[in-house]
Amino acid sequence: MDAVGASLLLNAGIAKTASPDQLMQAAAEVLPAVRARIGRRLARGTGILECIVAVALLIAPLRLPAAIAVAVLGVSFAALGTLGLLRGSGVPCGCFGGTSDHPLGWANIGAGVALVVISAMTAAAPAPPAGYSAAAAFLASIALLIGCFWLNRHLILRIFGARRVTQAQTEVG
Amino acid sequence: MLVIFGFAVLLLAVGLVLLFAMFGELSARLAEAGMTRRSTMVRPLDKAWVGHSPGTWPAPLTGASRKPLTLLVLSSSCTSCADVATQLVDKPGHADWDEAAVLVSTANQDTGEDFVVSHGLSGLPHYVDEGGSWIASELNVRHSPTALVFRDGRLTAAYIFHDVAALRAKVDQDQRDYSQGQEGERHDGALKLG
Repeated sequence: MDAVGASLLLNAGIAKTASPDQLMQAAAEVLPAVRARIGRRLARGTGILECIVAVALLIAPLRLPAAIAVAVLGVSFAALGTLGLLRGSGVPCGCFGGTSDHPLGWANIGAGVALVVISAMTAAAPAPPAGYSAAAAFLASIALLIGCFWLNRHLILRIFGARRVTQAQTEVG
Repeated sequence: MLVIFGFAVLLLAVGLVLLFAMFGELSARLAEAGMTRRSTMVRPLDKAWVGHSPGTWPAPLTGASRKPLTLLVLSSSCTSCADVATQLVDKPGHADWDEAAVLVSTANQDTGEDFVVSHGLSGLPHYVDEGGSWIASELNVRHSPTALVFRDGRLTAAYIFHDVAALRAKVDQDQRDYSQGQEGERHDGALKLG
């Protein structure tokens, strides 16, 4: 569960750090006080924080404090999703950078709840055995790549689709 | 040793994810700079309540609701919505599209009014929907930019779009099919007729 949680946070964190604008727009829609400069810094800062918490979750001595941070992040995602529902957000949330196409709403609430559950399970679990960090890092890498390919499937299909069209054009021409 | 190897693999995976994220950002920036063609895909909005007639209509849209209507739902903080507004007004401009009206979903009224004025949409029938409350409660629409097609006050189709000309062609085709009494296709979000 720690590896899954870490991979989710890493995917979201890296995407936000590289593409903060979508999240900034979505946040500005539901929280008008968020301005362009603050919003972009806030989005990037959130992304970096998610990455740090994710890595900490995979290091045995840092698991518990990381679990608390995961719970806080989960609550904030759920809160933002609730705000999006209440204020009728229509802009893609940017939670996974440019690949997000759902506005702030139930998906964010669900993700927030899932993170809180993961943090509770981590906190309740007994002390991890020796070799935990290595195993967790491996599993997180696999989950991270699967998540990344899933989130970017449209981009991947677009690239391969363009390649097939080019090949067909070459064969006809 | 194993821990170092495990985190090295994680670092490689992170690098790959970062590469994808940068590809996505590059793609978005090229689209904004006009260096890529705008998508002409018009796809159905699945969650909209197709077949439903709104119980109430906002005052600015009451007149428009009595005739065939294509309501374009835009958000005041959405870049592609700003692009749609530009297409409507002057690039290339669709002043001859009598059926079109605009709904601006926004967090507060002033921001929505500013969006209408700054994008030259005042000449079109328009409504600023604060909090998106009307469009969400009456039609279950929470996405923008979207197009809602009404016939006799009833929602007959809902689409996600980016190119106004492509949308207009799709709506005109649907209207021709409707007029000729042909069956629409349920799977593309339009009402099944006949």
